[in-house]
Amino acid sequence: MIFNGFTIWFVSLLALIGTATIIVSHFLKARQKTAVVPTILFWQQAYESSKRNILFGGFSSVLSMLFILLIMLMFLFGMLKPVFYPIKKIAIVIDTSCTTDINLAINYARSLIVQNDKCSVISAGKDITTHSSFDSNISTSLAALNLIKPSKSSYSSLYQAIKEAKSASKDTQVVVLTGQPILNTSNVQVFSCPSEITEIINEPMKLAFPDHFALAAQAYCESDKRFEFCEETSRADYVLPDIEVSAANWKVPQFVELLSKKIESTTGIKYRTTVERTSPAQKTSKPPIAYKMSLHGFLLIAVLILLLTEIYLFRKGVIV
Amino acid sequence: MILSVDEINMLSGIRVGLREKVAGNAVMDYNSRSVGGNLEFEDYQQYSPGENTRHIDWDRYMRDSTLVVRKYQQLQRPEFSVIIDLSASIAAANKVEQLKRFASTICFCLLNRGITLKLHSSRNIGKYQGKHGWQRIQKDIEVLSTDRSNTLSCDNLCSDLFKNVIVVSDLIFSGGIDEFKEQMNLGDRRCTLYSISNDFDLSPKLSGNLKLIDSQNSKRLNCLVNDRMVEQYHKARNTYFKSIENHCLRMNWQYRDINAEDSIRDQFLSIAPNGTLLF
Repeated sequence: MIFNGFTIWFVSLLALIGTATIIVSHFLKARQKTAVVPTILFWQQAYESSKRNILFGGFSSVLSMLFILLIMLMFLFGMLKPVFYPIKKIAIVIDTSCTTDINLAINYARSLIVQNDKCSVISAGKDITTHSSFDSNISTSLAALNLIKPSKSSYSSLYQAIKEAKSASKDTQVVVLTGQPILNTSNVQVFSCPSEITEIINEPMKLAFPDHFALAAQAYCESDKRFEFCEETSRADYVLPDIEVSAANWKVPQFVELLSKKIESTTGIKYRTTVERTSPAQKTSKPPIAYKMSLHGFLLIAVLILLLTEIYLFRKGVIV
Repeated sequence: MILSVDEINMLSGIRVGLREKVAGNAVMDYNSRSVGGNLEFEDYQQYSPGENTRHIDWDRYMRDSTLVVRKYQQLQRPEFSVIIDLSASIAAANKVEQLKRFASTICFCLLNRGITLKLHSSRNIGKYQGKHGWQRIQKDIEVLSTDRSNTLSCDNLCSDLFKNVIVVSDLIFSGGIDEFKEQMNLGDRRCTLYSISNDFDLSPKLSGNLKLIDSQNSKRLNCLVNDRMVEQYHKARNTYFKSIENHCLRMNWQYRDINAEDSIRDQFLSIAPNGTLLF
């Protein structure tokens, strides 16, 4: 189980502080006085006719305090958006391409490793590297994370890494930490860790290429979402050009120009390319699968039910 | 001594009367302290042979030569049962002393007029008459006031009660008016109810977050007592006593509200404004 971005120690600390605050306030509050009256008959009737919705108005009994503690803990728990994994084996696939914020991805991976028994760490850049297996202990896995270095290339063999991770064991939960949108994946949980570059390249562009260049660009970019190509191609046997694009100067127009030059130098054919922006702001904002599995919504509803119960019991005079 | 000498002197002038004529009793005023039944002229009746000639009105015979006999009505001295409520609700409101004093004044007025009375609490305490009865009843009331196990219920007393009943109580029943009707099952007896209340009842000095405990059955109520609650308390209390008053009217009982904080003089000014205590 993970708490979106918070470690179990931080969550425990929050719970401890909240609990301590409520208990201390319980003992510091003014004590309820006792008065013997000839009859409570008239007071009962008066109470019935002057009922008020005072939330925690009678915060005095132990029962009431426990109710509030429960509400506070559940509220805290819900706000942290806990995610439960039904499978203990987790394969963490970290995309090391320049589209991923590698520091954020490593932090995610660290919290996953701390809170789960069996984790393997796989990095997917140009090559696929398995840094730790399911049999590795936590410290080994954490140390392995430090060895992961970001790549300057936009290329990532992510899909292949996912495929390998899935094939390792049937009951493996694959968690992918990447800045790219992942398509056509089942049983994969994705945490989005986009880098600044991702923001740029995710802007939809329309590129006008001759058919084989279109195929080359499509294959090169490993994504059919980022570019739309004007022409269908019939030449599938085109050799991919080996172009290295550094993260520092990564701009789509520059990339297109670079690609054209490379193709020209390789094939001797000069092609005129045009770049045209399509509809703006179609950023990939597909929510991660983990969000869907979060129980925080359920817990917040449970808190609401508890609050209503508290009010009901208070009105009934069961608790004060 | 429950009552001071001054108070006894004041009470000595109080007369006792019955509100209405009922079988066996006549409307009367006990000015005399003579013991025994009195005869009061009722009517003339034609003389029949064989009747006692001592009752023939000879003056009338001298005037119009008709033989008539004077008919008298036997005036019976009524007897009273006094029920004193010293239940837990009285103690809770700190009015044991006040109730004890008021009950004593009633008993003194009755005994001072030569009336026989029985004293009851949750059981039959004793029968009292005359000056000696006054001495005894004071001691018994003192002993009774220390007993906290009393509960006001007329069920087990009914067979011992005289035809005239006086109840000195706060008339508070935790079961409400229904319990009052059930417990005050006095049949067709002539009844006078004195409802004793004091400042604790009328304006309770309670406020804040309280756990209220019922003195009668230890039931608890947790509530926040504020001005609005006190206001609602007064409404509920007034409604309750109004119901009791209405019930008394239906049963032809006499209901009197007594403020225990008042002096005995003030109390008697309200219940016997012309110097006659009517039951």
